[in-house]
Amino acid sequence: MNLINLLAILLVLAIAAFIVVKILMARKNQEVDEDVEQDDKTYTLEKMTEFIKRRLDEITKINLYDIGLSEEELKRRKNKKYELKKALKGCTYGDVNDKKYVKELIYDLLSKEYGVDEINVSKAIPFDTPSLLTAQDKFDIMLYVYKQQFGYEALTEFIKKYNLAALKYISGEAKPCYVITEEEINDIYEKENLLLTFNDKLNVITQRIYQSYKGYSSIDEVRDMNIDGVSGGVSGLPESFLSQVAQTDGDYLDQILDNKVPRACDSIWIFFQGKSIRLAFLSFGSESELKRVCQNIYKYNNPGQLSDSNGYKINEMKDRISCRCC
Amino acid sequence: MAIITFWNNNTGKIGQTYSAIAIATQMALDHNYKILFLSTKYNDRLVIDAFGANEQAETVKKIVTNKNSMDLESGIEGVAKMANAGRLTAEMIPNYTKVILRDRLEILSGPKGVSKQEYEKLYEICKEIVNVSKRYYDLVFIDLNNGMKDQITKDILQMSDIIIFNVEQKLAEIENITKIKENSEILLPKKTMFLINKYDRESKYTAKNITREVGEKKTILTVPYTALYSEAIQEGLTTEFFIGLRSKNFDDTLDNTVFFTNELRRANEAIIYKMQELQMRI
Repeated sequence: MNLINLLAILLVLAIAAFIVVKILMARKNQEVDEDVEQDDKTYTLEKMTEFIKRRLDEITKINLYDIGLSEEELKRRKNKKYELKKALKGCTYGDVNDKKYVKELIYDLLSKEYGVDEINVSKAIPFDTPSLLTAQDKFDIMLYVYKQQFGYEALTEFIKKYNLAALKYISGEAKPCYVITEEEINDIYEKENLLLTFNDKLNVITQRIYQSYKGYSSIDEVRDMNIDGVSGGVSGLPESFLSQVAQTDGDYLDQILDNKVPRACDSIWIFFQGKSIRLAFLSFGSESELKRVCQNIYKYNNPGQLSDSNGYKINEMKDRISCRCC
Repeated sequence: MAIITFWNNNTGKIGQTYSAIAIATQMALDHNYKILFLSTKYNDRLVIDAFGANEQAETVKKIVTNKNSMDLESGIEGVAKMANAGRLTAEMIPNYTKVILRDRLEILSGPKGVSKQEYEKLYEICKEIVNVSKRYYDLVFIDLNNGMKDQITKDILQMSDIIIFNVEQKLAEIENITKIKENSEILLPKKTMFLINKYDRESKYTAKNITREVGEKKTILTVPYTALYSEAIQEGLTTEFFIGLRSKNFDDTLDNTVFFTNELRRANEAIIYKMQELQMRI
């Protein structure tokens, strides 16, 4: 009888040990899955944005009751989670402090978890090869450097320094206009000859990720500046219109393909000291991005839905900047 | 309410953190104050390790649940993010602290595993953290960097209600105390108290002798050296050590741990008296 008891105890212990080992192995495998996979595209902006979205989603959506925390710890973790959720919501309404907080988190996630370092930081934006930088990259870098020095007067100082708010003739236009072109940005970048530290580079990348995730796309930093206002999508043809015309007129289709027809999502204007200046080097990239920005920009204090029947909204953002969406 | 800063102008390690932890823990056990212990030192793990018995439990929990990565940073780094973004309020500070004794003692651990450059940024923010946290806690104990090279150190000393100037039990320190009393603009006599770290009552430089020599009215405070406390700090059992001391026979003055506790109580009484004195002046 004793022997049978002993065998039964051993059997139960063996089963228990097997289950524990199985659970621990499963956890270990889960951890491996969560590690960042390394390949050529790992340090591209798209992959990093995807990672940031996933991580912030995980942090905000975790069920704290599942972890088995003490009452005190649960209360604290809930408060921290609530603060993060509040910041993620507030930054879309134009709260500068919430934006700073979310950017700090993104910066930390990239440097501490994603493993962005001095070597791979240039894979996202080729900081070391100016010829490969786009005009938007160059503008973002210069605006960041100016912001460090002048704060929210950065854009004003930048425009004044290079006299960019002057009437000028551009090719294909009969009349002079207020515009800042890609060539001008390229020339200025060359003149500035900036030396960036790793911290600067990662801050530029953080801003890029933030603006495509929670911010207002390419006008995110421009909107924060002390200027009279920003407009997006107010000139050019919307994509829906272009697709309709392209079906009827072959010439138009050719022009669209040659990028001769200005698209609505390429239109970004700033109001600077009484002048409307077009930023020809900046673009929202696609109409869906422009739509995303429009849908976020007017939502502070629930002014109602922007729809086909009610095609415009005038509202104030959290930082008291007024916005109009049409 | 009150900021109590532990500071010294020596270059080496003289046991300041050792004393600060002891005084803060004893204060939390004996008095009904809500205390925050803040360490600003660079990569100094002593404070975390001193109360680190629960760290092992947390490590086990982390392995089993694999959910720790779902949390935001704690300690000074976490608070600094809020402060940087201009969102820090007094009520937020407890979310980033580690509770040692519920509603009595919490620690805000110093930055760990950061570069010197990052540390300097965090140290700058400490000033704001101290300012905000005093609105929530009754007492804020700061274990401050030694020396007076940084402007931030000077600012925090100026902000402090009580400065506890830490010294060693040496002949040379008598001169140091005299010099500080005569010259310093920051260490004003009305808010400065002297404390001998790792005090040995067998030495001829007793607290009474040093007090007489430097011309102080009240006996200089001391934190005696006790092997048991020293071991408890290393093993992360500080709280357990202090709770264990409460069952001691406090009439046995020859017992080192009893002497240790009595001296800590004397220090705490002196701090409370100083606080009341300062409040009366205001």
